[in-house]
Amino acid sequence: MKASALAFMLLAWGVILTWMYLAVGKLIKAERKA
Amino acid sequence: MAGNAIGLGNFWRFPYQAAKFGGGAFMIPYFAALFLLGIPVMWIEWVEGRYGGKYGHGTLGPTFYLMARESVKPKTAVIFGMIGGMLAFSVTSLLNGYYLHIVGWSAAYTYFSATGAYMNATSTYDFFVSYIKNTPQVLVFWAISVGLLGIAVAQGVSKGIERWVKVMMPLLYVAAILLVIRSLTLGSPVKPEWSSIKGFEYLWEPRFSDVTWESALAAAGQIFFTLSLGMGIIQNYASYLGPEDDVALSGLATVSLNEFAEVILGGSIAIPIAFAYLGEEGIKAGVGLAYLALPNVFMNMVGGRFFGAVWFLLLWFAGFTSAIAMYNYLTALLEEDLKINRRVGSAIIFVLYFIIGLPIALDKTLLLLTDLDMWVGSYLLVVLGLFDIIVGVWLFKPENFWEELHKGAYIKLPKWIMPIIKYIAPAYVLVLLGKNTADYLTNGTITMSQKYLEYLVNEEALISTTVEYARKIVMESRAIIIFVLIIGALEAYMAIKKKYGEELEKNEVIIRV
Repeated sequence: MKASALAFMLLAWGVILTWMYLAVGKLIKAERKA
Repeated sequence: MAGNAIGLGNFWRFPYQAAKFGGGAFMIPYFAALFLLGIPVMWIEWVEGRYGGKYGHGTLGPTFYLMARESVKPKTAVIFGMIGGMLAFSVTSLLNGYYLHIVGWSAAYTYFSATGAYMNATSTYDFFVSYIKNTPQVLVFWAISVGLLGIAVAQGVSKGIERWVKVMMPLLYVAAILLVIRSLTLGSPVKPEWSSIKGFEYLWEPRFSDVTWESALAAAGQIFFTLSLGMGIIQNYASYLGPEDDVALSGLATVSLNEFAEVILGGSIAIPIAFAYLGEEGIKAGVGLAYLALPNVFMNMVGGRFFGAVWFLLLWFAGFTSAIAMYNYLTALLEEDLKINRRVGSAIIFVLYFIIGLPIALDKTLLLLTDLDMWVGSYLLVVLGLFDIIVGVWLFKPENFWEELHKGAYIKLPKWIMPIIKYIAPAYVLVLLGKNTADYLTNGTITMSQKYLEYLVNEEALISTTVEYARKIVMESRAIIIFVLIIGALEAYMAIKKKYGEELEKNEVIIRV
């Protein structure tokens, strides 16, 4: 796999996974609190 | 909403759109649309829905009217109400009309997997073509799906289905993760130069020079499709929420779950698998891509019949639940606006879906489905997104929108987001729609030029056909779209006039909650 393709894929996956972890985690915490 | 975040949009539409518009060249405008349009419009639609719900409305015509009258007189606001109602009615009718066929394909492939029908096929492409050409078979699986949908909505069993969603949707995530692992470890099962890694490379090579205005619009359309935006169904769902409910963080979380399902899971299944078994030509299969790629994996694994049946059954269920949301919107529209009871309403919608869906089932070239998906899935959704911003932010007034967005919110959004919602998002949509509409005029898409029809025959048709047939199909598609748009506009006007007739007559706001 070309380096540019791999870099683009890892960047996209990384952003999505971090975003999901933060948003869903925060939502679950907030709903428990509420 | 999390249950609706995963579905056919991720595993059927995303790979075929990404493959059609150049893989890596599609992913660049895809992410631009996600951050500049997807998240902002998701928030706008939740705010619109909750605001409409305050006045007892779950449909877009009256909701747009109520928000627009914050800035303009009722006689002008009604025009925006008509546009919103017209677009939402058209999208939920037309999109579900052809979407139910894809749901039907999933039902068929569940059956084919369980019975092992494709296990000895020499070509999964030929198998798919022979299925599409077998009209009675296509009709049976489509009719089963539409019939079950009608029964579910008429009986009001959505609550019972929600319980199933909680079980089936996590299972779909698990099944998809297993398929991703299989896809990553496929190697080169047919030819040394064909491999799933090449498929990943095709999807992720950032080819900036290959990005076109058409692919940018298609990417925006895919963002709207996959997030169920530009349809009216988010507003319908949000109309049941109160001021104590969070929409800001929930919107962000819903989008993140969908993107995980789409980009990480959906992007790692059909395209890499098609590349490994069918080569570069295989990924150009169009709307049927996911259905002719996946059977290759099930044919070549232990317990393939069982796993194939489970996968397609889960896909069928995911599509079915999304279809319920659109069906529910139309039933709510009849119930709320025209006081038609649920059972009768769902029967009327059943007939409507039958009228729209039948010509699609009879078209063996799939040109009708492709043309409708282009206009509805890549164009009308984005047009409604533009009006979401005009009405939900500009006419409703940005300060009102910001206040509504933060009612009951678990998070405080930073102020810099507002210029994106207010200026960048509408400018981006306007440029996309303007440039593509101009291109459609010059390249003959709108005028149905000989060149365009030849393109359809050579590049888009599933089986060989003639220019005359393509012209007939395209005219049929445009006629269906125009007919539904007119009905939608009239319905929205009647709904607004019924409740706010006095306001329209005096041209001043009377009803306030």
